Amino acid sequence: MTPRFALTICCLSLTGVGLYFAPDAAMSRVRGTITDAIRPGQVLLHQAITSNFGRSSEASEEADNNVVERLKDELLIERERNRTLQTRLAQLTERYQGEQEISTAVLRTNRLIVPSLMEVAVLGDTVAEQWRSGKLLDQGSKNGLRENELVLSTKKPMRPLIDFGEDGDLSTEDLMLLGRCVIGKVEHVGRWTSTFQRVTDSRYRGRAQLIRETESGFVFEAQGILKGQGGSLCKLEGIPAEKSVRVNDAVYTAERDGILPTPLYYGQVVDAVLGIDDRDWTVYVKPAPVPDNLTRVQVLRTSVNPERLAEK
Amino acid sequence: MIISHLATACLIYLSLVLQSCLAGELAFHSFRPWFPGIVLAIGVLLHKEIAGLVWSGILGLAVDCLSGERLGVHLVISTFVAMGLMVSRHDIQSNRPVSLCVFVFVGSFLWRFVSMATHAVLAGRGAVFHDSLTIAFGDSIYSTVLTAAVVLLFCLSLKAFGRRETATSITFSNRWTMLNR
Repeated sequence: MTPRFALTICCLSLTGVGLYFAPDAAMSRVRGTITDAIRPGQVLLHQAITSNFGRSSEASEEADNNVVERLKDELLIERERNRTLQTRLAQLTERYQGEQEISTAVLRTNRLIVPSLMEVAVLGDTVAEQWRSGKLLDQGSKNGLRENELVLSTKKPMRPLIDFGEDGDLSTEDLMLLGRCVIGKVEHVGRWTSTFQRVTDSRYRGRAQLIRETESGFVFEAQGILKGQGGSLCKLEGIPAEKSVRVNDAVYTAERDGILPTPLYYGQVVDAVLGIDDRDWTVYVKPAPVPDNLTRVQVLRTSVNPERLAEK
Repeated sequence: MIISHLATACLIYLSLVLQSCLAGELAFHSFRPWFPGIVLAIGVLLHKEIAGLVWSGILGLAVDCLSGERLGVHLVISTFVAMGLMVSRHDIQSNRPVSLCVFVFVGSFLWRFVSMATHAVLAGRGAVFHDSLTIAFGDSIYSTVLTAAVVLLFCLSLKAFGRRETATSITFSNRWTMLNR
């Protein structure tokens, strides 16, 4: 081993250690540069795989596979309609006050900040360990993506929602978000690409609340923090022992600073344990199923209400 | 020399694109090919000591950027794995395809095992040596088989489409040699 060889090893090791303790802003720039540089190759390979797979599947199409896929799609759609109904009923139960009708003045949004959805293509997987699960997205800061924005699945009911009537307490944002399920949130944002971490990622954290069906309808229950565990289940923490938790309770996002008008679906409680000396429940949540070959997702973004700007 | 550097840069780019887009599709019983390990082995065989180390560092940094973890871990690991391979390079026999496969297996295994164990300890998950060992072994075997298949295809295609040498003229001396065989 020559001195130059040893010196090179020392320099590279020190660079690695220095980068590990570097500030997040500097790391984000380096990371964003590399992921942006790889993007053209990923897009090309993606298109090549998609076009070749499309040709071979047309050549060897089987009726049984089509039926199975159609049934899977219909099942996902029906599940989403169920969640839509759950959410709407819980919201109506919360807002309805005795015999008083809901004022139509609150129907059209008067919010300053309104949510919007942006459809984004999935380029590939991050090179992560088995307890981290992330994907690479085809949009970045140039398209307005920001860190910690929620990522939703794209499945939406093909049939229209049940008509809630003229006095239906629905705004445009409610229609857009009702029944949607959260599959992750944006982690790192480059100029043209981003990464998102799934809800099962060991670093995922999000405020969540329970919705349960009672004799008087669907009601919002306790709130907590949903944490990914690096496996197939997530953990819901911070629910005090005096609150009640049951298996099959639905888990939704908790309202965040009033920006999110409608709760979004996380998953379902599969196990809830309360020890004798425990102050909080230990709740395990099974997230909503996500297709293995995820090609497109929607990112929930916030923007200024143009109607409010026009008023000024 | 410039061509070898250009080729290494292209291979690094290709390995990152393949690892992010294709590795998941090629997964077999949750084992995936580790393309950066293959490129690391090629870089060690292709370059001299300093150049090989620098390229291995660049490869490690690029993998860090794609991993979502803090930067620097893969850079350090790839540097030390390349160092180990270079030190043992002189002891390996000159059969390049076999050397490449051995380097791919050893390099991929060490890289995957050390990176998983390091990230687990840094993330506070405790030592997960058994899982790391299993996954690293599986991934490195997969990568080695893939490398061997590509090398075999390359050699076969060279053999099939390579030039066949034919005698341009028959002189008295080589005619006498041909008769005596």
